[in-house]
Amino acid sequence: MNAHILLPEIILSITAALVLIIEFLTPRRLQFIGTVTILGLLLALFYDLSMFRSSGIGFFGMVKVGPFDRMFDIIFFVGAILLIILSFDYFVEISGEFYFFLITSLIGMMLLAKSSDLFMLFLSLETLSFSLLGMIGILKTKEPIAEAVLKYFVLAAFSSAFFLFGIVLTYVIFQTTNISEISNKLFAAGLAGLKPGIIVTLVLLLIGLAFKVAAIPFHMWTPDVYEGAPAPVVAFISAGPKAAGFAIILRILLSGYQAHPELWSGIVKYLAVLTMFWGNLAALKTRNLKRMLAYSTIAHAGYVLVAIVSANQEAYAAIVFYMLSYTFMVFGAFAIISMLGDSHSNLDDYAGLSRTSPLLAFMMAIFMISMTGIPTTSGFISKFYVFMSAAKSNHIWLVIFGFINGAISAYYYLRVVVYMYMMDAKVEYTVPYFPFLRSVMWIAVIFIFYLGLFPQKIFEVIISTL
Amino acid sequence: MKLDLLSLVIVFPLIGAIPVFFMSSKNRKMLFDYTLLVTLLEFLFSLFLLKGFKFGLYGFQYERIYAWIPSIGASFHIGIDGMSLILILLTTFLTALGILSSYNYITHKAKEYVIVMLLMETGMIGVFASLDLLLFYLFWELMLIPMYFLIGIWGHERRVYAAFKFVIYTMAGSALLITGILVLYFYNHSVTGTYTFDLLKLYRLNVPFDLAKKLFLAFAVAFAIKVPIFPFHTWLPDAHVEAPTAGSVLLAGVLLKMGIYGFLRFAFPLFPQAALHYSPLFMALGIIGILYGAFMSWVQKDLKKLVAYSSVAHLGFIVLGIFTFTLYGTQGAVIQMVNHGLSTGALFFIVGMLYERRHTRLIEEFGGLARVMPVFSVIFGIVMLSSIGLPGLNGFIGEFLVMLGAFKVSKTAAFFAVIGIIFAAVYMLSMFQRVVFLKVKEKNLTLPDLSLREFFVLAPILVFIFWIGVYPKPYLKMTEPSSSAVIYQIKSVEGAIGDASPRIDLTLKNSGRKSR
Repeated sequence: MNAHILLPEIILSITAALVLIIEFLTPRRLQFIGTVTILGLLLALFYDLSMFRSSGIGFFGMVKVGPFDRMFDIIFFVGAILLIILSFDYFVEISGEFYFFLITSLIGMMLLAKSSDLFMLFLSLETLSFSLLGMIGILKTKEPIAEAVLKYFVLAAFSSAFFLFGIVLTYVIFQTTNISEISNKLFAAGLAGLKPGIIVTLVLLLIGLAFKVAAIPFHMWTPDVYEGAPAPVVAFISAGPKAAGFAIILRILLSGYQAHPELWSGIVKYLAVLTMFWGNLAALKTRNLKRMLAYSTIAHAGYVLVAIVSANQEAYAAIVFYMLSYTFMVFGAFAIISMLGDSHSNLDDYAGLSRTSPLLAFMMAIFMISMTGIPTTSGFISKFYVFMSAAKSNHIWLVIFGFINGAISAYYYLRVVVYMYMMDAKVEYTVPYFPFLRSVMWIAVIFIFYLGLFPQKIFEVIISTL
Repeated sequence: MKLDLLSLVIVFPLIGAIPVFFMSSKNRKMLFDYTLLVTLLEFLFSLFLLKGFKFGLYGFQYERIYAWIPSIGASFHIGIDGMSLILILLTTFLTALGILSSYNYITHKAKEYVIVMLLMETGMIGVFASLDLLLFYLFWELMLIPMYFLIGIWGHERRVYAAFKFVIYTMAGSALLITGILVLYFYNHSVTGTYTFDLLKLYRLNVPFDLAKKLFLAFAVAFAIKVPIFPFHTWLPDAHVEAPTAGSVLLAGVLLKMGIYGFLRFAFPLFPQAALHYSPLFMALGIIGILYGAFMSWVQKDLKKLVAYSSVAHLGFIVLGIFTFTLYGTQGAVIQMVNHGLSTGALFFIVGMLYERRHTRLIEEFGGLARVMPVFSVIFGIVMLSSIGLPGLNGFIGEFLVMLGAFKVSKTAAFFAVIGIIFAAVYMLSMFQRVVFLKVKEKNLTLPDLSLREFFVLAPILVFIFWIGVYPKPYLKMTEPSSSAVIYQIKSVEGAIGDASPRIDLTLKNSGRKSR
């Protein structure tokens, strides 16, 4: 059965159970439970890294692990650990189940990126969705949260249904749900008469996945969920689960259907262009920072889809790098949003921040500039890599569209800077000192500049896993 | 790793900005004194560059390559030739003067102001010193943010709008630039099998004419927006007018030159055939720029807008000069870049000084300043005449050379350019008359003349205005090899469009030579 290849996940499952037991025995001791969680996470991460170079197939072909998948694990772990640190300052009165959901969502993501069977994939997808649901709704008191939870739940169920249909159809066509076997059959038998069926299958599967990565036209949940959910959870959702979504799109499209890229590259190409433009254009009008970042996350999904269309080696590296760098950017931004508070996330609340808290304003400016993709920040390098891979595959128009989108996005990202630096505060508002939130902010800034100025090391690691 | 002089010149302002973070923003005087010291030291370092620079050599000096992202073939490859050197000197010179002029002008967020100015200096010098396309792009884009802050925070009434317009215009242009760079990069790989952004290696590439045309346009649009060449100029009046004095000075003095420099350093040598192919178009746009800028300046009521539009006209001359592909034209254009930086920079300083006194820039609000501010008026007069191109002052040299070049290539172009010069005299003199002569308005009677500090902002510029005007030889000698290298690269393909024969490689000649 080869169980040891999932040792990190097994450790995490045990930690999750432990967390529930501790919560039962000594309720609401958040920092204690959080520390236990972090220790469990670090242990799992340690085993994950110690097996970094090994690869194998286990659980009767249900999971397939290689170094590249473990690269994604690192992104998930970074997101989870940053979220735990954020939660120490952010949440005051929640039950320890939050950490349980966090761990299960982490397991969901890790399995998602490793599953090589569509059924396994579906199970991990559901694990992930339900855990996220628990995290979004953890603050039971607030009004908009109910809406966020409901919207996420309904749309997740909806997209899951499509995904299931896709799996069933796949089985009808190929008599298997194993991704490598599908790939083999496609290589061996060719398309002969199967093309319409395969395209329908692919569209159904893509709908399910587009929901996860918030691509057009299945992005509708993002603005509402982002606005309603607690800021740290939002940061987590836009980093890890999204990366997992891309990992699995890579797995299905580039491994499963690699014999016939023409089947899906057209669809994904239009999806990418629409997602980029729609996300950026919708963000232009938004005045709530959390909503704006929701639209921006849609736009970023569009950029990453460009890499998927390019489908070359650079694209794989670009996606991992992009998601890693995006994780830091988004956590940095949401750490600051958490400091000001969810209810103070309108642009007006940020007016004059450079006077009241110059450090926070400066950091926020860096996060916004990095998201715009200005050089010396990691945002630039990641975008550059994505479009470099597109240029390599001769998708010149995608490159031009991508960078033009960068110019469009400059407007709304820099508008935050305008409010912080060029407007006067309507209400003087002093931001309390939050040590944990600040530490996340510092970690994010350090990594943004490290990845932006010296990307070589990370790239060497990523390329070595391909 | 020992830090070489050129790298030091690039990073020194950045290093100098670090202590500012720990200084109190309350003590404005100390903050500016410190920054002035940093920028003066930086100017001194750039003079050391000049001291060690060997005149008359082809190729790049002070060349250094440090590893940056080897996996994609991007390196920290820097080096300068005469043209870059003269622009770097202009940059360090104007930045120091810009700081000197800001003592009283910048009253809030002084700390951020000096950080932004220093960051910008690093960016500007980096652009002129990079010999790696990715590094060049990095500095090119990096410039945006400080300028955006400079306009947006310390600008005038419509500053936010102007700052946005500036950023979005430039980024849209950069979109094409980076796409062009990437396509060239992969084309180079398909030919040579290596991945590199190294400019000197890419120079050796012979890009097929069809591809070269597209790539040239991609580069040209990005550069044309920065220059700006008509019809991409619309961001310029807004940005110039709304920016604070030092911002306008650097914008006009240095940032606009980055576009021209881009043509000369990148677009021409990389795609010589395409450059030749499109030269009539760009010469025509240059002439339109000259005339359009002149007419627009003529009707302006706002002093700063007038100077801004005169920039469009001057840059039109420079564009005309570089697209003649003659040594006269190119040399004239390069020297005119410096002249424009000096005289327009000085004009912006002067407008800023008037604004500090009266808080208005409307021409009709002034008049008769010659009587109340005699020293100021004399200096203003000299600068204004240099901007028109009076013989004996610097502007004449550049314009005259550009004319010679244009005359050799196209008499029509030269004819229209002469008309442009006449109009320059018309709008400048009529403005000068209305501001400095005529009756003194009551409100202006009490205006103080130049303070000592203001005098020291303008006096160094005057020195160079006379020096270049009377004895331009050292400046021409400094830039001659770079200009003739560009011409040579263009001429070597003239009449050989579509011919795949390899070009003679000028860059090889001295690229092995390392400075001390």
